[in-house]
Amino acid sequence: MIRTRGLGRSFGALHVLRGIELAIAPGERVALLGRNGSGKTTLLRVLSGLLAPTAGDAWIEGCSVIRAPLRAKARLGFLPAVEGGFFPRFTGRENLEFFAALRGLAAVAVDAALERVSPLASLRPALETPFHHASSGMKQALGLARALLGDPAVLLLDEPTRSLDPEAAAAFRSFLAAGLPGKTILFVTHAEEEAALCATRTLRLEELSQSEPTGEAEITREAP
Amino acid sequence: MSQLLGALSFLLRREVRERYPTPYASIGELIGLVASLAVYWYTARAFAPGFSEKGAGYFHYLLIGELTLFAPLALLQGLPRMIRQCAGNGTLEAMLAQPVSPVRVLAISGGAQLPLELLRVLLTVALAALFFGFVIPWRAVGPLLLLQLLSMPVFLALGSIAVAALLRFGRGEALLGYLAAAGAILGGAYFPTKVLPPALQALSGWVSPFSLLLEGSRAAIAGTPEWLQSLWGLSAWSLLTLPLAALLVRAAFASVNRAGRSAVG
Repeated sequence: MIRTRGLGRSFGALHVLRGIELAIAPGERVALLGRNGSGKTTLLRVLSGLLAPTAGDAWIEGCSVIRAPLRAKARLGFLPAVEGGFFPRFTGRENLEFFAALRGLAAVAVDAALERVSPLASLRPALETPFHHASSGMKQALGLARALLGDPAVLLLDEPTRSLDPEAAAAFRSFLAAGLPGKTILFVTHAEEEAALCATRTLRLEELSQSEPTGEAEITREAP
Repeated sequence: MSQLLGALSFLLRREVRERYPTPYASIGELIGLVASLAVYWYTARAFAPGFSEKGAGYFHYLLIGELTLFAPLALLQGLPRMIRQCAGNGTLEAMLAQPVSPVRVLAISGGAQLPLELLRVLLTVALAALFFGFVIPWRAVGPLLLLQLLSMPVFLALGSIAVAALLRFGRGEALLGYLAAAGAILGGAYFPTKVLPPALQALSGWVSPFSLLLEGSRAAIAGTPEWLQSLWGLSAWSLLTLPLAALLVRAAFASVNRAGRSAVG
């Protein structure tokens, strides 16, 4: 499960997240909607442990991202919005084997993660293609396979269909809706129909704040 | 343990592919090594035929200096270079998203620098022996390996401190290059430090890891017991630099975590 209490993140005077209260039960698939710049990616980065909050705390399966970041990271898989993050001269499989080894997992963990993602057609060619030659669909499938290494209970997916063509996006949505039973999933999207199709619950980031983040800096960012 | 070795082996293969993207690159390196040896050989013959330091002629002196510093310089300069590349293609952040301590990431990355350097040392020794009659006495091999082994933590720590600076400030590699060159020169890699002006000789003492390693290696080859002093000196440097490096690396990664990105990526 995912829980936050009074979670906030500022960048100088810019309050991107303020007083976020979130509770996602085990097995829920939650779509996070919000306007550009509202802090959706920032929230996922804080939950993933890549960005420290400036207020409050968050718990992944009961582990605080501040006090026990490694234990929290061991319980989650994160698919960032950017496509990079893999070694470009290596194939998908080699990359996955490296990240599994880094997590202290045996090679069998790679096969298990690949098995879970196997319904995605773009996965198979991605495994034997050097990452810098992979298509967006292949990269996305690899990113999801990496997020599933170690079979984490929680998945954080940042705009998982953003750079996919309509066919690949539809396949990804179907997979998200039915292919990951039992996982607690929080995914960011701009598409209401995607949220309706894949999620058991939809949240708007603006509604999660105890007090609406309408600081001056926020307004400045919208009208630079 | 086997997982750790798997990660290390992957990063080693990464180093190989980055350095030698085609077979021509490795052939080029081989030719470069032979050319360097030829330059050292003829320079020694032309300008320092009567040179003798701890029983070694100038060709031997130069070559020992070079060979001794291959691996230390790889840790000192190669580690920051690798981290910059990883920050650039997003793999550093991907590694930090895993449940693994940043210190472990750096230790694995540093370890991946070494096997190629060891190979380069062996290849250089073999080429020098084959074409220029270079010989290392067998009795010196053990002490030389011990000195190299004990110098690794020191240079891994110094390389890690450089990484910490890189993550915090996004720069410093050029300065590191100057410091490495100064360390090699003042440590006596290319000529005995006794020919330096007294002020620089005094400064030479401040670059102790380089001086200790070079002096110790030369003593080991000459068969004199001073190499044991170098061993103790390097151990003391390890005790000093490793905790400092761990502290600075943790602080740098904590700063990356607070900022959400490193200054380099």
